[in-house]
Amino acid sequence: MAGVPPEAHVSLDQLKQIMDEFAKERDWEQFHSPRNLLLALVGEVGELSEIFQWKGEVPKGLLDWKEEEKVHLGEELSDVLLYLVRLSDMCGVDLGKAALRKVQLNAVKYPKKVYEDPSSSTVSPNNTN
Amino acid sequence: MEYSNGFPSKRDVSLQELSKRLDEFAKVKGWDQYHSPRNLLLALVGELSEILQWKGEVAKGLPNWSSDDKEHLEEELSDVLLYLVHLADVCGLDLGQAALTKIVKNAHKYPVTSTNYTNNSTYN
Repeated sequence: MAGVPPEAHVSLDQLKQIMDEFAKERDWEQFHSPRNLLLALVGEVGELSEIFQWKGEVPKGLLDWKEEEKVHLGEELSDVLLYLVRLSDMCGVDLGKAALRKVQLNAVKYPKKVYEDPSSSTVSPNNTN
Repeated sequence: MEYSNGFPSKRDVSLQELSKRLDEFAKVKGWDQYHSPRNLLLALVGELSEILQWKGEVAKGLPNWSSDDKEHLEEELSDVLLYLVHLADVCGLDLGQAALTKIVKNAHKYPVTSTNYTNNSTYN
């Protein structure tokens, strides 16, 4: 993995294959049932939440955060992502395809905002469901 | 962007591509004002709670699941991913790069032992 170009595009399929190899090498596949992986994922989201827990509202871009805090955040976000990728794989879901499909559906579900419409100022941030 | 019937055909999807589309989506709809880090984190937690609810233990590959249930799961997993990608963006982090770095760190934390390889060979 060393020497990965910094600007390389990282694909979900690439991460999926790495995680599959990682689990096989350590004989962890026997533990990777969907519910086990989901609970591991929930645990990692808990760790991610701890980082923001006592900080109050924080601005975009995390101005004023120390570099080590940003690195730690990157690690926790990564753990969530890696468990999500593994969970999807064990469920037989093509996560990349599903995500692109969802983005497409959202674009249809929430049509482009008409800026000239004065009532548009009342738009609410709907859930993506 | 290759599509058939309006939906993407099977191919590698990069985190950068999802990131770009989410950013465009949020801006076009005027939602980026609401996408603070903590708001996105809480939205992610909300989506996560819906995954595999009331299903009990399930086998790999989800045998015997209906198409509707599988499609619903795909949407829930997608929502978690999309919120995660967007959260990393508004925090100014490169999630793909961070993930590759973490994998290397995990590989050092959990080294492959010769015992593992021996165990693996018994399955060949």
